[in-house]
Amino acid sequence: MRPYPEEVARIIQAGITAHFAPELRSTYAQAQLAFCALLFMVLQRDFDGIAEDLVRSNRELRALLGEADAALAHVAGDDAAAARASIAALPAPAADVRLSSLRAEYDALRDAFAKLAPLLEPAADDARLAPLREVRARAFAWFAADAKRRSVPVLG
Amino acid sequence: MREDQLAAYLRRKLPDAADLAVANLARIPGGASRETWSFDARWTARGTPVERAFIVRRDPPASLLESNASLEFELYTALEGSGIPAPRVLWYEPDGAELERPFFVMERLPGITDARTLAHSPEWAEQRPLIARQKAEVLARIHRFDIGRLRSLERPPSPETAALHEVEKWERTMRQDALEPQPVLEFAFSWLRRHLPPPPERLALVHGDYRSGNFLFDKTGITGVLDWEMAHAGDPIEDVGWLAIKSWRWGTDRTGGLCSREEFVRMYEEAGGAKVDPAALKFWEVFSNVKFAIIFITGTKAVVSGKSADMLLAVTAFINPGLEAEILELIG
Repeated sequence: MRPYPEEVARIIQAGITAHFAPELRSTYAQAQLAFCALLFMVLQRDFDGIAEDLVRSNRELRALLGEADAALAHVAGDDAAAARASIAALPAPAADVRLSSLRAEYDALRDAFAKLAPLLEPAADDARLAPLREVRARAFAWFAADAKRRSVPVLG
Repeated sequence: MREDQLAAYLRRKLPDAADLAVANLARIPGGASRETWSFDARWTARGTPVERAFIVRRDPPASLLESNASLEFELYTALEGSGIPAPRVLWYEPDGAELERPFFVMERLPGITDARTLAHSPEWAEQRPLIARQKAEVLARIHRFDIGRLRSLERPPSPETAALHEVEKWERTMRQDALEPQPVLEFAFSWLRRHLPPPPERLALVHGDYRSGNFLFDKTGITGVLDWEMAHAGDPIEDVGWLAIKSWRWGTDRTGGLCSREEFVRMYEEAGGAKVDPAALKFWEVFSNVKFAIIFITGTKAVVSGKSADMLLAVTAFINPGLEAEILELIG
């Protein structure tokens, strides 16, 4: 059904630019409008692909946590055992493609990585955590690529 | 804020001023932690016409960070005569009755703050080396300032705890304000705790946001250092780390968009700044990216919760992925 939501965003942006921007006199108001335009741009960029991005991210994060679980099996200590229990307790994949369901899963998976940080991050130079080195490198690479995908060049 | 409100306020502060009028009131874009307004006033004093340019800094309804206006006022007052260029503050109104929220008034200095123009415009190419050197010299002066003169300044218990104090402060803010899990920042906090730098010789005045964009400049160089709301006592290398981060290169490969990092450090040390240990600088660079990301997490919470309608806060949320990528590059 046209206009699609991302088209509605573009129409609103065009309307603001055509009718409101020329009326603005203060530099401050013009700056606020420029920020609005940037937000509309982000909305249009992300809208179409957001569900697919979340499905892919959730699948990849879950696979990485599986690798972390396997590596943790070779790490001695109660903290490693607790981390494995935490991974085992992760919720099942989202049962539908509502954004709220996919985001809940995404947040749970990211939270699992946040909780793993005290084991994963020092693995680069802690001998006890050496089995986690490879998954550390892969997780860092994943989060870096994900960050670059989401990045908006606000500061130039 | 309206011109008639300001005129009424000035009449109270300047009882001898006759025919007082306020004009050209304008809000200055940016200033995400405190509103900044500019205005001109003219009056007659004992028959002599007077014209003055003013700045009002007013607390916003919500901001990127919780900051302390009384500290900022105290700082500006203490900086007078110190050799650190800064605007002269005139009045502080903690109850903010005249302008709805707490505010202070200071003189308006000449110059602009536009860091992107400074970094890129051929018009400023000739001034960039001069401003880079002044930026290093002023920073060294800030770090030699006697913090004993600043009663309200937040300070860690000792130089030995300076770095950990900052790490814990920003970690607390993240836990309080984050609307979603932050795995990259958790990795960073783990790294920071494992790479704490050696303590500084003594606690110094740390500006906390000393970057291109937070000082005024004109063709003669730096005319005033602004935005002291994150000032605290700590490790002076913290300021060097902050100004060195990728975000403040403004799309160039130059520190602050001005000169190479090595050149800046050399000029800062030669001007009497602290000795910059490369490992400590890396720690503070990682920390600064983390702190910057957490400032935006706080701003995101303000707009998502409806506490603020400032579009700047909404836009800054989208800076964080770039900061995360930079953090992972640094600690990877």
